[in-house]
Amino acid sequence: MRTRLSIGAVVIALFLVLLSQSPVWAHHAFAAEFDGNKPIHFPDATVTRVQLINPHSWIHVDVKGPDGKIENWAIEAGSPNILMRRGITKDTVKVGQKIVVDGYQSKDGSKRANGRDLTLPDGTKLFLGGSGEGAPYEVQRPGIDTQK
Amino acid sequence: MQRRYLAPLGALAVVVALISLIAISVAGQAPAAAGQAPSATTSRPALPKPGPAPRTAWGDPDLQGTWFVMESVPFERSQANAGKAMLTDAEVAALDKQKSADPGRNARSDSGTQDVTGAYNAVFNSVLRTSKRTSMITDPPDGRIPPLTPEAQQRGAGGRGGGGGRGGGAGAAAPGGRGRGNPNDNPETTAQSPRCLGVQMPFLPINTAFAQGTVMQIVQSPKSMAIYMEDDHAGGSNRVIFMDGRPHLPANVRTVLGDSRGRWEGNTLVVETTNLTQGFRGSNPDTYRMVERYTRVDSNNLRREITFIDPQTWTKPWTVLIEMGKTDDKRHMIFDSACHEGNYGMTGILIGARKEEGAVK
Repeated sequence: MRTRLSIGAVVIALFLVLLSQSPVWAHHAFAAEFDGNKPIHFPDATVTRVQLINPHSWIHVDVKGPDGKIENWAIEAGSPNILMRRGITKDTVKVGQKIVVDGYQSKDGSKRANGRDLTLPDGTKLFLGGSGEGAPYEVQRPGIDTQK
Repeated sequence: MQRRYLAPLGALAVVVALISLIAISVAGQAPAAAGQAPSATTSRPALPKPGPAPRTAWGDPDLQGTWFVMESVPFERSQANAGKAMLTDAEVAALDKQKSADPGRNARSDSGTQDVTGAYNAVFNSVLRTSKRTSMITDPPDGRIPPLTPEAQQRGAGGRGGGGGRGGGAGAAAPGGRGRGNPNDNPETTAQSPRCLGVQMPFLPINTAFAQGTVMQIVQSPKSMAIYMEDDHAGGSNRVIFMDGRPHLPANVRTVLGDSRGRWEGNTLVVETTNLTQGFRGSNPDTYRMVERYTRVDSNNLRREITFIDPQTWTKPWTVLIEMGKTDDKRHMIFDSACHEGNYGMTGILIGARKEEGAVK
């Protein structure tokens, strides 16, 4: 009986953990700022500026527009506190570096978007692993905040 | 948890902690230079060796430094864990294994609206290790908030009403007022966090997905102390605790962080906070107060106990315990919040709302 209770407790706890990690959950009004019907995909964006600032980081990139002209977009990303504690700074991503941006354009149609997924050209998630010095109090998540 | 299990568990915890510390010390000696390519190593930084709790130059217990919540503890004990104060090692390991495999925000949705709500990938989140403790609440022993008084039941207190929000604040609900429309339509009704309005009391590690939940930096002087509270990007808040025996402010003066007075009881700092603008978990701000007890157990560990008192709301006071740890202050600094300065999101939210309004006119 005691064993059953313990297993039950673990199952419920796992469910709660999964729930808390659900992508539906968010602390910020992203759906108010960005348009879920305006996905953007920049396979060949070039970083022009990195702002690791609160409340959200911004990575500015040059991308080639439909007419072939270069456009500068501002891409919103998460806040820098956790990145900083993983040893990541604004210099981790260099100006001139190529990245791939998947996200959604702002509702006002300006050249701003959220960076739903930021990856390097080889498919590695941007900021993944950082300096590899995950904070001692965190669960290490292979493929999320560490590479292995 | 029966008492006879506590001593062996405590001994086991000490052994595990020592082994971990040794492993960490061996593994994490070389900070990587900024700007280098992502590394495959998963070594962790060295923690300072624990020693006796230090004292300040003027002889008080020294609580100074930056303190992190190291483990995830549920606020109230779940029904599933009723009667069980501690998880087993195997249960903790199973939960942590699950956490390490959880894709979190890396999981994308086919629905654009849902996907954009997911915001950005999981590298911007953190996941704390699971604590053995099954509730932050240590008193009552069942790990649950005591029953409401009849008066509180009548006024409908006891809903989540606060504490479930970011940083376990008193509730970040913006003034509603209009009673219709989307809360993101106007700055007055947008939630506290996107507005960079800082954290609220009592600042509990309820949401630990960002910036390790709650981070506190304590600075002391003989007559007053300051506690800076960081909670992800919501901005920081600075509490000042007067230690010189001055009386509390008049009852009609209320502040978000309240009015704190501290005193030493042996090696424990006791802080009483009143004059809060908001209660907590449905309490009445007129009669609600909180008493914190900070004790530096050793150089690396700080206990923060908070007793919530409101005879008009709860049938008896109740207490939570938050265990905080220390890392290298030079490496794990507080990130300057400077939240308003770069809050382009707020303008984006409001412009989005105006565009939507324009579309329906």
